[in-house]
Amino acid sequence: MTKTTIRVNRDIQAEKRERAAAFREKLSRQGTLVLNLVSSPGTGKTALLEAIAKELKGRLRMGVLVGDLATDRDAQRLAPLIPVEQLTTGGACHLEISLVEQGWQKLGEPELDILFIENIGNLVCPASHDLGEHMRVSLLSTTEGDDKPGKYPKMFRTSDALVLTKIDLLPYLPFRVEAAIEDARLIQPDLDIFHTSAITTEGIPDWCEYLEQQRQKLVASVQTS
Amino acid sequence: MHEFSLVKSLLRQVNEIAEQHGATCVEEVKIEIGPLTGVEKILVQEAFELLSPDLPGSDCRLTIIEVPLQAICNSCGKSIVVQNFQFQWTACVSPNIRITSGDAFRLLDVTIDTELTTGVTEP
Repeated sequence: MTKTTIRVNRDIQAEKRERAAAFREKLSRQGTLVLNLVSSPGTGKTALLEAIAKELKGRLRMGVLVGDLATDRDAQRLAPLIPVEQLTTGGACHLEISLVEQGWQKLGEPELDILFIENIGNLVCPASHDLGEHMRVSLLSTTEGDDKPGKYPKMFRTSDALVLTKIDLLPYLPFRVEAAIEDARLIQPDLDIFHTSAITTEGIPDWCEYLEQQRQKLVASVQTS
Repeated sequence: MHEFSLVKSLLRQVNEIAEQHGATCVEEVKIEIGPLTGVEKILVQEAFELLSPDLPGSDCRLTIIEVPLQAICNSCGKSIVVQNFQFQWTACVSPNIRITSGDAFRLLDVTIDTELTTGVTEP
């Protein structure tokens, strides 16, 4: 018997990250901006997508991959507005690149300007998984409480934008907008922050304009490279 | 919650290494985690105990090295330890820092036993 220690020193997710990077690269080349929407359950990811689909109708070509543990309720809600494919994880607490690749194939790999991936409602596990997105967008609703960013540092640290949702409810809640933003910026100073209500559509035009700009930036960066 | 799937992925990689090297037994797997890895050490240990009997030798030890969350300030180049997830590096005007360790789940090394072959194969 010979005892040997083999030095590996590698991120165990390296292979998945490479697959995610390849997906990102593929969609970059065809000018599709990929957004990974993450939040707690009930923050309003689907409602935000409905509002975006209505606002950007006729302006951008969009598609959605929506993840849930069970049911295709979100896909049914979104289908009248936007091409959508439901990813049902059967219990897994997060999406992974393999599910995204499958969903993208099922969607028919259409020519899109923006592909939204609505992740499983969970502020923990999805933070550790690269889905091939260009941007990670965290949603935080006024009904959740303003102390959430500090409690889930990885999610907010790995996000590029923060969308506050349900701001129409602010008059009825103790949610302090400034405290939430300060908490989030301590973790990720570069966050682009938006205030929205999918019900009243307040803030939706600004958010959608930002999405258009981000998509244009991607196209410009692909052309120059 | 996702410790189980991460440990499954870890063991798949350990198995590949064991196979490549003709291991008869995997004695030890050493991993590195940090504050921003997004895993709970105890749950990683539990998942490993549940799944590792599939490895050659069936009695593998998991060693978990915990590292602090370290970063480099992109403005001044200084290496810092991030405390309590406060990512603002107050010594510089720019809060722009790059994390260098403590956010990954790394497989450091694998200790295996191999049977030295003498050219005689058993029937």
